[in-house]
Amino acid sequence: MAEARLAGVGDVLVRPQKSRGFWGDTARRLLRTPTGVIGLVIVVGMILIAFVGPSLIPYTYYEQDIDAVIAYGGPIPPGVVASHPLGTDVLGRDLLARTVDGAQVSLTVALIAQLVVLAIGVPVGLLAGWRGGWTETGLMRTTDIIGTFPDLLFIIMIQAAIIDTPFFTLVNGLLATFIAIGLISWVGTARLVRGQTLSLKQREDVEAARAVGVPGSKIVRRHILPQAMGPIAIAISLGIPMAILAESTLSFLGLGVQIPRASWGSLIDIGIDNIQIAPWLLFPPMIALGTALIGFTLLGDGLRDALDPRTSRRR
Amino acid sequence: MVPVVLGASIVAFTIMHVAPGSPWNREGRALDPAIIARLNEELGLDQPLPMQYLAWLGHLLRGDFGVSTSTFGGDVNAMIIYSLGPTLLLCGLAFGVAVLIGVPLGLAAALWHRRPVGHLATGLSLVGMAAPAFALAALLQLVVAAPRFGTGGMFGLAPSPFPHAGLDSPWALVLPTLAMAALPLAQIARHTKASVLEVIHSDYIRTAHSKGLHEDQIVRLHLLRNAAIPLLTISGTVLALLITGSIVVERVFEIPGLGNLYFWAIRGRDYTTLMGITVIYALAVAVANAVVDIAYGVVDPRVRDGYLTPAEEASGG
Repeated sequence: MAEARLAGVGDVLVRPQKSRGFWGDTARRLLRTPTGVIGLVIVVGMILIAFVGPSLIPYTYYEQDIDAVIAYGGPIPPGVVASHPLGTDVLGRDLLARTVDGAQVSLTVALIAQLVVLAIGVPVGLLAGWRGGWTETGLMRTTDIIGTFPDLLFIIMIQAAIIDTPFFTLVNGLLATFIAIGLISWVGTARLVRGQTLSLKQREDVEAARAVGVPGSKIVRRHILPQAMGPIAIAISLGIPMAILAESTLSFLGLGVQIPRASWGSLIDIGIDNIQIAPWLLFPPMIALGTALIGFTLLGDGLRDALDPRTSRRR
Repeated sequence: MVPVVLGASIVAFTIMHVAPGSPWNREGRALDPAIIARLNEELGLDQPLPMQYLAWLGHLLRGDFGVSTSTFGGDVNAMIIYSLGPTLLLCGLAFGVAVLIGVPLGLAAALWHRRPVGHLATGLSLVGMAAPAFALAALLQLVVAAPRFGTGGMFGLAPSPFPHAGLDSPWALVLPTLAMAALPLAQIARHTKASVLEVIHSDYIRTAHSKGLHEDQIVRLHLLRNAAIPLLTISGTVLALLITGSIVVERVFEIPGLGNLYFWAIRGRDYTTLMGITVIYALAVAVANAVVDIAYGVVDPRVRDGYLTPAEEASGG
């Protein structure tokens, strides 16, 4: 390891810290914030449950255990039959399996919606901030117009518009919902990236690159985008709980996930329908949804604290 | 403001009419083509889309939202005016609750940061984050309203004074308001905490302390005023949360508001009603944005005197 001698401090040997890179540093600082750690544990746990869980549960989310329901004489409450620890719904479907399937739906929406946000919001923001002029005016006015719609209204509209098109009937109607959620959520990211680009444009490294004649597209890729990654990561991670919320709200209204697939929103909807005969149906999806929202919010908060020196200084 | 709302109406109009499906083919029942042709002609749906839009816009400028394409002959103006009241009432109440509880909660979390009271306040606002309107509405239905119609009370509770649905008495507003307020309340509390923490270590607060100002005065004159700026920035989010909340809460509590109307209009491809509600909501958001821009100036002298634009203020000044 290289050792450097500090001038003026006498014979003190200073070992330069090995560089871990931007993301390595961020990860270390994230693991030092309690909120970040709790959030990370919840999120990782949720990913495990969603993708390993189904293989550990003897039932699938759509299987009807009719014999058990007939033997019991109605939907089975939790803790009565050993193979259905959380009970079943009116149709004899295992509630645990359905709740776990809901986790899969929620994680998928988190991923796809945020991919759409990255794919639209970042280029729009970069282009508007870098080009300025009419490009900026046009792009930002469009952003304003989309931003005028309340999220849910726009999602419902887009989803209703694209769900019956040949492409989505062929692939999966669920994908239409996820993409619709992404198609409204990019607005905030675009504004953020534009703001970042505007301020990064004034920096010396960008000016130097321009002075030696580096083409604009390369400056944006090499200088501006990497330096804007921190705020983008925060925005994306804090957008995840909002996407999960939007999906479950849609499914609750009967406009998102279609039967027999389960989403926490549609499970809560079924719970309300059966509130008098099977009130236990409400709790697992509600707790799962609440935990997921808290988990992703905490992770986003932790990431913000880890990335933003202004907030970490005061701690 | 007007161009943005106009743009929003064009976007909404295009999406709705380009989408497959029409008001006449829902639920799989086919109508006689001759009847469809006559209906389309009567409602002007046989015209080219730009003409339809201009016709709609012309009516709108005269204050006429048109005729509903779903409930035949229904006047959209009447439907919207009828539905607007409950929604405005609910949103207003929920907003009031969210601000009146959220701001003190966030303030407490920041002032007693890393002390028991602060942890409690932070924990409470986190619980609110986990309570989206529809989940909370379902829970309230279960705990408070369900015993009314369950035999003998589901949890052995006395019959609740709060009706589970409708809007017949002032009591009926309590549960929906609670359900709607939780998430915006939590957001407001979180942002208040973050922005107060940001301000609390600044030099001018230390100066205020050192010149012997009373704690009350510091909070009122220095902390809250500066912390109000980020709060204004999230008011757009809060409005969106309220509108989203009103749609689901109106569904659960069976309240005849704008959200419920929108839900049925989208199911029935009721173009004119959808357009009417979209314009109302877009207008609400645009007006809210304008009010926020003005409020920045009232709160922050730097904006008022032109040293900062509201956009710069929103991005952290």
